[in-house]
Amino acid sequence: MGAADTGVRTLKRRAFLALGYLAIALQAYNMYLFVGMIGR
Amino acid sequence: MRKGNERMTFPRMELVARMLLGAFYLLSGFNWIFGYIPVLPHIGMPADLPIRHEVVAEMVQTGWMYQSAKLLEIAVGLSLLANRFVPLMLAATLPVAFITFMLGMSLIVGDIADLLAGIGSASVLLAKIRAGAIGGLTITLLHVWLMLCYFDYYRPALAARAAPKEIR
Repeated sequence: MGAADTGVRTLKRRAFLALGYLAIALQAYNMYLFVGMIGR
Repeated sequence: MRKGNERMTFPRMELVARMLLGAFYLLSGFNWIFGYIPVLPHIGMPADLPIRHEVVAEMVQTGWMYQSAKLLEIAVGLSLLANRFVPLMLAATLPVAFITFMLGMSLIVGDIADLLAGIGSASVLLAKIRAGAIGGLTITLLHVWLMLCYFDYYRPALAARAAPKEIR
C-alpha cells in the first residue's frame, strides 16, 4: 500500500465521519422539532 | 493518546446515531397508537384532521398500509435501541425512510425549481424545509449513514451471480 492509497483512505474516512456528524446534528435538530410537537 | 481518541470517535458516533434514530422511530411509531402528537395521523384522530399529503390520507384509508409502516417503525426503533438485528432491520425499513424522504421532497421540489429558475426565494424554501421536509431528509440521511456503518454485513448479499442452496 503506497502513500497515495493511505491518503485516499484517510480522505474517505474523513468524508464518512463528516457525513456522520452532519447526519447526527441534523437529526438532533429534527428530534428537537419533533419532541416540541408533543401535545400540540 | 490522540490515536486512542480517534479510535473511540467512530463507536461513540455510531451509538449516538443509533440511539437518535431508534428513539425517533419509536416515538413516531407509537404516536400512531397513543396520539401524543395530535397533528400527525393516529388511531383516535378526528375524521377531519388535516393531512398534508393526499397519499398519506389514502394510505390510512386502506386500513393496513400506513399502519404497517408504523409497526415497522416501532420494530426498527426497538431493534436500534436494543442493538438486536440492526443490519436486517435497517435494510427492511429503508423503503419506509425513502417514502418519508420523498413525501418531504414533494413539498419543496417546486420551490427548488423556482430557485434554480431565479424566481423563487431561499427564505421560502428554508421555511418549508423547516416546516415539513426536514424530517424525511434527516431520517434518510442518518438511516443510510448507519447502513454504511454496517456495510460489511451487506457485502455477501451483493454477489452478482449467487448460487442457491437447498435447505437441509
